[in-house]
Amino acid sequence: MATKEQTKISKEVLFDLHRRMVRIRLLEEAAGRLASEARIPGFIHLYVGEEAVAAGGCVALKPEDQITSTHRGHGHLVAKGGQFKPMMAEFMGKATGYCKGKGGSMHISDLDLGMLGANGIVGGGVPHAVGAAFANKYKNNGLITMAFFGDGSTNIGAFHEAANMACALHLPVVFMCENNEYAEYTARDRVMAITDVADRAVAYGMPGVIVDGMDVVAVYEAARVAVERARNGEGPSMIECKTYRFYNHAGVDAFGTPYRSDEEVREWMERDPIKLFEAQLAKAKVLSEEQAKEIHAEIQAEVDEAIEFAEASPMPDPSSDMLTDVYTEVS
Amino acid sequence: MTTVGIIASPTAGKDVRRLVGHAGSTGDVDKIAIIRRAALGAIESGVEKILFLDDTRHLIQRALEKISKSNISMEPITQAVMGTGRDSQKAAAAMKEAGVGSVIVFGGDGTNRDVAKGWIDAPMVPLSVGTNNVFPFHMESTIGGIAAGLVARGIVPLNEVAERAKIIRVDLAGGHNDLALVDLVLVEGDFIGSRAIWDVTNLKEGIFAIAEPTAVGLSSIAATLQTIGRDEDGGVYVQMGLGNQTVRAPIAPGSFETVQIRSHRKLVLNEPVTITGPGVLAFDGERDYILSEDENAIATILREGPWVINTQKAMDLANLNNYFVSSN
Repeated sequence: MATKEQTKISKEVLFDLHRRMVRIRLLEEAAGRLASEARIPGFIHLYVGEEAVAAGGCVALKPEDQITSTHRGHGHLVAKGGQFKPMMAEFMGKATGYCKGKGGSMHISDLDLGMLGANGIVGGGVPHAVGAAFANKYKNNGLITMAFFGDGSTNIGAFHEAANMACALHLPVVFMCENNEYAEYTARDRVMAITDVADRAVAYGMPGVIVDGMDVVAVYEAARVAVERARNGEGPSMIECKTYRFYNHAGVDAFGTPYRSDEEVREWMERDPIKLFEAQLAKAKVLSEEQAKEIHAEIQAEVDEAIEFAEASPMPDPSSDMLTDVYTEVS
Repeated sequence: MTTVGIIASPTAGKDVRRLVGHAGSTGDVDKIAIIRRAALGAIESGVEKILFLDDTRHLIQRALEKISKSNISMEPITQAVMGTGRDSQKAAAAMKEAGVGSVIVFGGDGTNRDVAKGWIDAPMVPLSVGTNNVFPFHMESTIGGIAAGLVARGIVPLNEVAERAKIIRVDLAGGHNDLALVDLVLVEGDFIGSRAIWDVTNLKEGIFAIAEPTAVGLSSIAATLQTIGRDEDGGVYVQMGLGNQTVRAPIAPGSFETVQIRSHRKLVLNEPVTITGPGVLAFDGERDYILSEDENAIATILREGPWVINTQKAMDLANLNNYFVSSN
């Protein structure tokens, strides 16, 4: 049976959920702005709208637990404790970034935080999570791994193989599906005969549930139970979070795209997870509107400082850095 | 044109209780087959039209696709769907407006509650496809479909084969009201979250219109103290928390918990009970309304709910009249 402490969530956890979501939102809005001004190179896939999934999932984890991520991975790293300065520097390809400027937006990682990597390949992170979970079980270290992935990933062979192996070997892993209804620019119902990814879980031999991915408390409650199951040796679980990305697959356009209607985007924006949660916190007298504004301002200042830091940072030096960190050094 | 309505919850059988308890999962493929069998049952009874809610998963549309349309009209209700309980509520209201003879409802207690909110005296066959449901029947949908059709066609009279269900009417601040079909429970906390409840230490008080010992869910707590059948008038009021008693009850499928009981008493029909916040009100086992500090909710059990068709009685009466027998 699941954890008993349920409907009463401590203020510390509530503040933590809120802060992690706001940190993701403000960093992402800034990253989008910088990318549109060509101050960040390459593609950028923003996590705006999906904050409740990463925050709810990661708050349920212990700091030493691990996650794997996607091409839309900034939010996961922030939720796992990522710092703005090395993140922004990495987005800009600077030597002070988390991966010394060599990973960029889509391959950002920090093993010290247990963030095993964003991944440019759709579904590519899921086998990594299962491999890490296998290692954790082998080492008997009590750690669990949470794999974040999108609905499109579950149509990829690697996902199927990883989910099957996780269940067959009874590994300590939680599958966190961010079902935002679109795989890049393709609507889910054009490539899937089922609506709910959670329906697939039973076929692998694990429970699959659906939660409102715009409600951070709902995500957190389900994630806690799944994490506890994994840690207690009860095997993998799948949580399908129904969510939505407010911006286009890549870049900062929200409206005027041919594959989804503006009306649909507006409807989902009405369910902005941060606004919903702030209204709930105000009603519960946990956080006033004024206090929420102060938190936004404080985090915005940290974002601005990170931008200054990143822009002032050097690029990697090709003469000395070109071939470092390419291969693992055998000790 | 004799018409049967069909409403199905797309999310039934998929909530967090698969993780916190031992509830089974019901995928869309299974649901579609269950709905199709009920539709075939209704068609067998001779109804001329099926009016249905085209939900976000198109479950009913997909169920009806493989049925020959030569002797039946099938029509979706024209309404925007949002994937919430409000879809079922609006669809029920539209079915009432359209003069539907009976409604087959697929879902749990929550879906039936939504239908009742849209059409309070709906003649219905409630069929479970969800979790720990008290209100709907756990039965083969083929027979549920026939029974609904027999009532819609007037082959068996509604008042001979159906009883009006009880409801718990809940009057809230600002003149708003709501209803539950099984139970209304106040739990500690400030959030609706994943809706389900599995921490019994946070239960404060509850009103139970149905407390049958064969059901799982929060109503099983009351059933251990005082049994109240669905056809029996009245209900039970239970105060939970540190007291002189504890009970063991299956609050979710396969999950037994020890619940502290402070007091309990029987309620008669139309007896108002005032519940005061703070806390979250759970309607039929799902957190749904945040009750602020000192805010009151007045709950009253009434026999003013849907007409629930007793499928056994409907089939018995049809057989008694040799409805399915022809002479050669």
